[in-house]
Order: sequence, then structure tokens, then C-alpha cells
Amino acid sequence: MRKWLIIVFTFLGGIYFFIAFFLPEHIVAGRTDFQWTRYNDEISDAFQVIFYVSIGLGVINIFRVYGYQVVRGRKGWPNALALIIGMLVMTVAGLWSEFGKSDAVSAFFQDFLFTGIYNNLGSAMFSLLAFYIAGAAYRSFRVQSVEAGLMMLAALVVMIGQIPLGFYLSAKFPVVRNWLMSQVSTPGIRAIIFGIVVAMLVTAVRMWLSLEKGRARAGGR
Amino acid sequence: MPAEPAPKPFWLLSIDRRVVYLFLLVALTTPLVVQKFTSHLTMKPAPLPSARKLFDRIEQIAKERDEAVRPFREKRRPELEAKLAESDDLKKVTDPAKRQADLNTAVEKALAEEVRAARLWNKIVILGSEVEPQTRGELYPQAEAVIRHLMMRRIPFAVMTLTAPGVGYTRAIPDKVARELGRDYGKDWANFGYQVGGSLRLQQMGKNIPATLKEDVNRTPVEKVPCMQGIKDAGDVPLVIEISGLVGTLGSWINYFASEKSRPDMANGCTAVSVTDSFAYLESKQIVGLLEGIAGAAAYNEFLAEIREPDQPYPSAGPRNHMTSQTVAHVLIVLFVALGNLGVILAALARRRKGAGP
Amino acid sequence: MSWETLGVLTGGLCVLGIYSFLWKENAVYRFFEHLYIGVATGYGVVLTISEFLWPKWLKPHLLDLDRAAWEPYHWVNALWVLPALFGLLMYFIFSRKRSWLAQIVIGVGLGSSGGLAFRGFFNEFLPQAIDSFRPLVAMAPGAGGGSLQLGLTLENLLFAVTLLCVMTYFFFSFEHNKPGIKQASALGRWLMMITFGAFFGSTVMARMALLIDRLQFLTRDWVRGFETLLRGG
Repeated sequence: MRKWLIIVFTFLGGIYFFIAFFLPEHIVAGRTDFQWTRYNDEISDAFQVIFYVSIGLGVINIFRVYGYQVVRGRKGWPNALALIIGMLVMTVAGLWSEFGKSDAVSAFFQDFLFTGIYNNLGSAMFSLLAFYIAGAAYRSFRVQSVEAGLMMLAALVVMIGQIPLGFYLSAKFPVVRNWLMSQVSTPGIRAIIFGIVVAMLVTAVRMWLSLEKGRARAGGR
Repeated sequence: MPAEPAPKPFWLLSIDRRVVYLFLLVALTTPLVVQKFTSHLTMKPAPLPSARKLFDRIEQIAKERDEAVRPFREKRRPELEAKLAESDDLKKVTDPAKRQADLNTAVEKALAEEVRAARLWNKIVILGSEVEPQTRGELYPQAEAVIRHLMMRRIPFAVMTLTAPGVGYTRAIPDKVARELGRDYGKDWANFGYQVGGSLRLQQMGKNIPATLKEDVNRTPVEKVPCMQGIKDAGDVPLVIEISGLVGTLGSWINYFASEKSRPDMANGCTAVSVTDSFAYLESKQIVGLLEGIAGAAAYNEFLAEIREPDQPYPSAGPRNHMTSQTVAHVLIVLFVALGNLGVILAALARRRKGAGP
Repeated sequence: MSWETLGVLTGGLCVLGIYSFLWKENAVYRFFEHLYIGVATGYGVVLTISEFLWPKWLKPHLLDLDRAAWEPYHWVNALWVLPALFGLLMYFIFSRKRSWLAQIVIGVGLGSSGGLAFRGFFNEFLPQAIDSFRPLVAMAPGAGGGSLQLGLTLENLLFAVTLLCVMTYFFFSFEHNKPGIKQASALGRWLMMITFGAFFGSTVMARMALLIDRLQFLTRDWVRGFETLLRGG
């Protein structure tokens, strides 16, 4: 019974969009104008409400995992406390800044929390990748076969073609780079994308019709 | 029997990774510090054809707009010149050249107001700005360059984002450029902040923009925002520029943002990681232009410098300076690869010599 | 001192704290890592409430606060609580006995993604497939059938060969040891190496851009923040 409930709801979740895609916008017969997507706005909003009310899941999980660490004084509890305090301060300041009428709180939220802390931490985290690329270039990129040599040559052409030095050395460098990207790289990527897209569509249909083994067994014992 | 100690790696292959990191840090910081004292350490960015295509499309939109409003402007210009020349502010200016320049500025502003009020060209460009902390290095300059172009040509645009971290930038970037160019919120652009719902939201918007957006970030109803008046659906949007580091969002705009009868032109600004994917869209003409990472932003700024009016500030030097550091970085990476491979070759030669020894 | 200046100064410390990881993993890095997770989660909550739940659901639909003062509340608006109640079933994921209720909501999500996938396939993928069919003999328009465009012809041939060979490499429905298929698959691998090389070249610029942006912040904005602090701003 549970299994069938899940299968039915999964199917109903996709049937509206499936039909909306395949039917024409208006089906006119005599004086009747049938429009399947007449209430598209309301249905789309309803779908979004269904998913966005579950925002609390992440918050509850954070309290479960990190709150437990703090309460029990487990190893790393100061960091867990910093996480929880950061989350609470950001939430309260953000909501107060949006719905309250305090310029001071807005400045605190926008200039200090968002721009000062959030932006800088996020950017810094991702910028570590630059160091890893440099480390990998030195340690791992070995030209030990013809294929590796081809790869390095292509990388060299693209790298030189996209920096001002390449344009300074020869105006042809960006042109060659562009040619390589559009005539060799594009069909290569496109061939890979074809496979991915077809597989994604097949997987999406299988998920929708609950043909995947995991979905079919979900909820049932 | 104790195991033999592992052979010591060749010295060129055993440089500590922290030395590599330090070298990179110093090499990239040096041009940035030197640039504070001299602007001669920059090189002209490569003129990327994909960025040029986007630039030309926006210029074409400006031309179409100018053609549509030309009869009205030609009729009203002499009347406005005569009226505004009598204003007290202008009479106080003694220098004739400056007075003429100020008069031209005032007339252009008044004409833009009247054209907007008369709704002679009821279109709006949409800018999807998915600038996030992890992509701001490349996408912030792109968004700034495109917004600068739209504001320089006075093409009204609506900015929004489909990702939560992008909200702050939808406000910060247009505000910054508007201050430099003297543009007004509501008339020259509108900010609709974070649009939750991804593809579903775009699908709704394509069919009915005011009903989907409802209000801007200042909680002003859409119908009361001057540049949004008369905008109904995707048919009133000549161009959508999606600036994003997320591969899926461009696809969402292409798939879902369309009205019953029309689909606007699409353009993309992406991080360099996604360039190979976005090129596929460019080749199949699903997008009309592409900004390829920071190189695209730098190239675009060079194009903007070409069309700059004398009274307008130069585009930001940030991307050009950035590309100088990129040059150093790229050369370093090539050197590191060469160093690593040289180490392998020398190590093999050394082993062979040891093996062939007495 | 303004929040802006304090934000810039704190931001610089955050960046240096994260970069301390490059020496080795340490307590300072772990602290900033945890802080980032907390702040990012809080920001997500703020935006979900302020950008969707309030302006697009509660205000215009459930509470109907957009109606005129004299208009009565229509009972139909109360139906907007139903999708929220349905969405709240997700919270049963915490219950061992009734977690299957959360599976219903997940199922609706998967189903809607499946339904939307068709549009994605036809609108996004088909134009690329159509563009891949390029003329293998390109003729310039002109009288008497036009003239051969050798450059374009060779480019289109290269495009088609690259596409087919790379696709052949990924076809696992037949053995790759047959003559023709073997060579095509090998050529596909070589051409893919060029694709990956181009990808690597682009990736270098992307990753370095992130680092250069942070270094620009440290050398420009952070230094300016200290100058403002010393000036008493």
C-alpha cells in the first residue's frame, strides 16, 4: 500500500508537466478553448511551496549534529558552537534586516555578515583550488604518452591564446585558440553531452514511472 | 631481514608543495602591488570574438531602439533645447563649451524620460546574475561590463538571480555603475532579487512577467516600476544575458523562458571552467554571444572603451590588471609542468647512469 | 568605525585564516570552515523566507494581505495551506517508523523533474544535435551551383569525424576490436585528449581568477581598510 502510494504520487508529480509539454497551448473546438496550462502559475507556485517549506530540514540536522557536540562537550565543540552561533546570528540579522526598519541592522547584515564574512570565506575556500592546480601541474602532469602530449599541447594553445601575452606574441594565437575550441573541443564535448543527456532522460523517465528498483521498493517491506 | 630503504627521489621532483604555493603567491601578488604604482605593467587583452558577438548584439538593440524613437526625438529635441537653455542652472555656467555639454546632457535625459513615458520602445533586457562568492572573481567583472554597456546606451534592463548568494550582487553591481554614469533606479533598471523556483519560475515568467515577479526588491509593485510598464511576456524581451558559473541555469533560460509566440535571444557569461560547454551552445546558435571568464570581461571592457563618450568614465581597469596576473599565472603553470617533466627525464637519465656504472 | 570597514578587515582575516590550510590543517582553518557553514545555512534560510515564502506564498495567497481593506478574506485562499502541509511530510524523515511519508514528497520532486526533463531534452539537446549535421561539402552561394569552400568543408569534416569518433569510443553495445570501430575508437580517444587539454587550459584561468580576486582584495581593499581604521574612519 505504501509502495503504491509513493508510486502514484511520483507519477502525479510529473504528469502535469509532461502533458503541458506535449499538448498545444490552446485546443480550440467550436466555442471551447481548452488550455491545460490555464492555472500554470498557481500550480508552479504550489510545487515550490511543497519543497521550500522543508528548509527547516537542514537547520534541524545542524542542531542535531553540532548541537549534540556542544551539549556533550565532544571534541571540536568550540567549532560547532561557532557554526551554530554564526547560523543564528545570520538568520536573525537577515530577517530583521528584511522585515524590520533598522538601517543599523541592515548595514550589519549586508556589510559585515554578507560582504565581510560570507563572501570572503566562500571566495577564499574556492580559491584554494588555484594552489592545488599549481601543485598538480608540478607533481602529476607527466607527458609520458602521445595522448598526454596531445593534451598538453592543446592546453598550451588554449592557455596562451586566452592571455594578453598570446595576443602580444601574435594576433593569430586567439584565433587558433578559438578554432580549437569551436572545431575540436565543441564536437568532443557535444558527443559526451549527447550520451549524458540521453542517459539523463532515460533515468528521469525511469524515476517518474518508478521503474528504478530503489524507488519501487521505497516505503515497502 | 630489514627492508631496504626507499630510494631518495630526485631533487627536482621533491620540492615541497609549500614552496610551490609560496612561489605562486609571490608571483601573483607582485604585479598587483606594482600596479598600484604604475599602470604601464598591463597588456592589452585579446579581443575575443565570442565577447564581440554579445557586444554587437547590444549595439544592435540600441540601434533598433534609436530607429524606433528617432522621429519622436527629432521632433522634440529642438523644443527641449529651447526650453532647457532658459533654465537658471545653465545660465549660471559661463564657459560656453561647458554650457553646451550640460545642455546636451539635460536634453538627453529629458528625451529619455519622454521616450519612456510615451512607451515608444517597450522592451527590456533581462540580466540573470548568478554571481556568487566562489565565482565573483570572473563573473563580477562580466556583470559590471555588461551593465555598464546597457547603462551607457540607456537600454533598460531587469536584473535578477536564481541563486540565493547572488542577491547582494544584484544590488551592488548596478548601484556602483549607476553612480558612475548618473543613472536612476526604476527608470534605467529594476532589481527583482532572488527568484526562487528555478525552471518553474522561468516558465511562469516567460508567459507573464508582471504576475510572476509581482514586486521588486524594494517591494514596489511591478506595474509601478517605470521601466517595467507595458512589459508583458518574453516577447517584450529582446535579449537575456545569463551570467552564471552554474552549467544548468543557462539551459533553464533556453528551455523555459519563452512566450507562446517568441523566444528571446540568449547570451551567456560563464566561468572559464564552463567555456567548453558554453561553446557548444554558441556553435549551435542557441546563444548569440559569450563572455569567457575574466578574459571575456577584459575584452568587453576594451570594446566599451572604444565607444565611451567623453563625459563618461573609463571602464574599470580591474579586469585588465587581473589579466596581467593571469599571464604570470599561466606562464608559471607551464613552467611547473615543464619542471616536473624535466625532473622525470633527469631522474631517468641519472638512474640509467647509475645502472650503467662500474 | 562603520560596519563596512569592519567587514573588510574581518574579511581579510577570514581569507588569511582559510589560507593557513596551505601550511597544514590547523585549528584556525577549522574554525573558519565551521563558521562558513553556519553563515551560509543562515543566509539560505533568510532568503527562502524573505524571497519566496513571504512575498510569493504567505502574503499574496494564504494570508491574502494584498487585497483591499474592505474586501473579505476568501475561503479559497485557505487552500494554499495544503501544499505546505504536504511539504511538511518531509520532516517525517527523522522518524524511523514513518519515514516513508517523506518518500512521498521526494517522489513528487522526482516525478516533476522527470516531467520537466522532456522539455529540457527537446529544447536544449535537439538544437545541438541539429547543428551537428553540417554540410560535408560546403558550397558558397553563386551562379551555377556556387563554388567549393575548401576551408569550411574541411572544418565540417573534422567536426563530424570528431563527433562520431568520440561517440564511438563511448558505445559499449558492441566490441571495440572490430576493424573500423577499433580505429575510430582510438581516434576518438586522441581527439578527446585535445578536448580535455582545452578544458584544462580553461580551468587554469578559472581557478587562478579566484585566487587573483582574493589577492586583489587583500592588496587593495584590505589595505584601504587599515588606512581607514588608522584615520579613525
